[in-house]
Amino acid sequence: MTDSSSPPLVRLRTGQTVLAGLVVALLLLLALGLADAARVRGGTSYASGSSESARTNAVYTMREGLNVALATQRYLSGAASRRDVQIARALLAQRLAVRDETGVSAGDAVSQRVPEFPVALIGIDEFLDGAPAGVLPTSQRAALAAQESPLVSNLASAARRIGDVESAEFKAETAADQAATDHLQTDLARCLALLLAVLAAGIGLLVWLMADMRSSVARGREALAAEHAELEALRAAAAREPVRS
Amino acid sequence: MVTASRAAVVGLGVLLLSACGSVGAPASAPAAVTPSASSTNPYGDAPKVDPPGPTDAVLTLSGGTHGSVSYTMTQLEALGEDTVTLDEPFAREKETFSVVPLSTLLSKAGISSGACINTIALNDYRYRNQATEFLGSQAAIATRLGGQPIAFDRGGPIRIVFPDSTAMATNLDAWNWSLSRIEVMPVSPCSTQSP
Repeated sequence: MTDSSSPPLVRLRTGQTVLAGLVVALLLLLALGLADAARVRGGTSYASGSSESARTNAVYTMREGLNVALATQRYLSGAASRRDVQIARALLAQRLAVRDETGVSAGDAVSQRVPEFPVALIGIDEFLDGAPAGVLPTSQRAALAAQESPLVSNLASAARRIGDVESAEFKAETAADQAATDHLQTDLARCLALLLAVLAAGIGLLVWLMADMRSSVARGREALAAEHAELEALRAAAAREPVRS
Repeated sequence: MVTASRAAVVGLGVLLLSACGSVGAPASAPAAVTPSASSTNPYGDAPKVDPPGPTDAVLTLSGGTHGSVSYTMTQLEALGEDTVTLDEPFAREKETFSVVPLSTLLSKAGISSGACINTIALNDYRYRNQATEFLGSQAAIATRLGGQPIAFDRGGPIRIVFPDSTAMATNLDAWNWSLSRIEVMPVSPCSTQSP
């Protein structure tokens, strides 16, 4: 009585196939959106606690550079010894050797950003090489100050330039960070909308499929009951039939 | 279809987790340009600074119950030396320092662990904190690097160091190099400061 090739419990309707395709498409869009958000988030690097940051290095390089300029000026005016200048220069060297979180030394970073700084420093080094030890004798101060003051001005200007460059970079980075944050927020809002759409479409598809499955089961039960009734009728008819020997 | 939905949900979860767990990539390093060099530092201290003389005080502690106490390098090293190998966070290398425990110096100057102390460098860099914070991180005054006197262009002649894995080892402000003075601050509470 039953067909050997029975129909499947659920057969996708055209509408369900379209809805399933929509869910897959939304999932793909969500994946792309999340990947984009991850890329934006990955663009921000953070300094580790165990290393100096590049910005800190730059600020202290400026400070130590100005210290060297000040010490040299004091030497030229007889208010400091050559050793005081040398110590200030050595402490600047220590700062220039400090590596930031990316492994770049302050010296390399400042040479890249403010090339006039190492040039000015070489001028000071050359001057110190030939400068009289101790406190500059009064008789030499005026002549040496007139001759060497431009070196001091060059170094002070170069040191201040580090601050200018850092300040400009900081402003640019702040603007870029703000743009990235805005982009990230937009991406996340889009992802959230897509996620809700995926959930809604997915739930709708499941409900639809379950309803179809339920009606298929009901139809199957009805058919089974009808077959059962038909079989019972046939059995009853067969029982009423006299047995002929 | 139900299996496909479950797979989609699992995939979605993986995507969300991967998006949340992404880590920033380090920036690329610019090429090196060195202005001048010395034997101890690629950025030079030409001409080289003479080390402190035998009678020159390299460290003065003041504000303790014993008044002002100054040490020459010889006196400092006579307080007993340990060696400590640690990750130097500025050079980013393992380095071995000969050190005098800060606790010894504070004790000899009559500075209590509850005091607020200000560490001051030759370039007037200052860092202050509770003495107990320094002591809790086993702060030490380094007098030698690799067995040799510490050059000025390596943060010498003396500097504060902290052993690895101590609380202040990663507080770079506290690593005051070319240290010259330690003063008790008459302030309470002792907020950290690094001008």
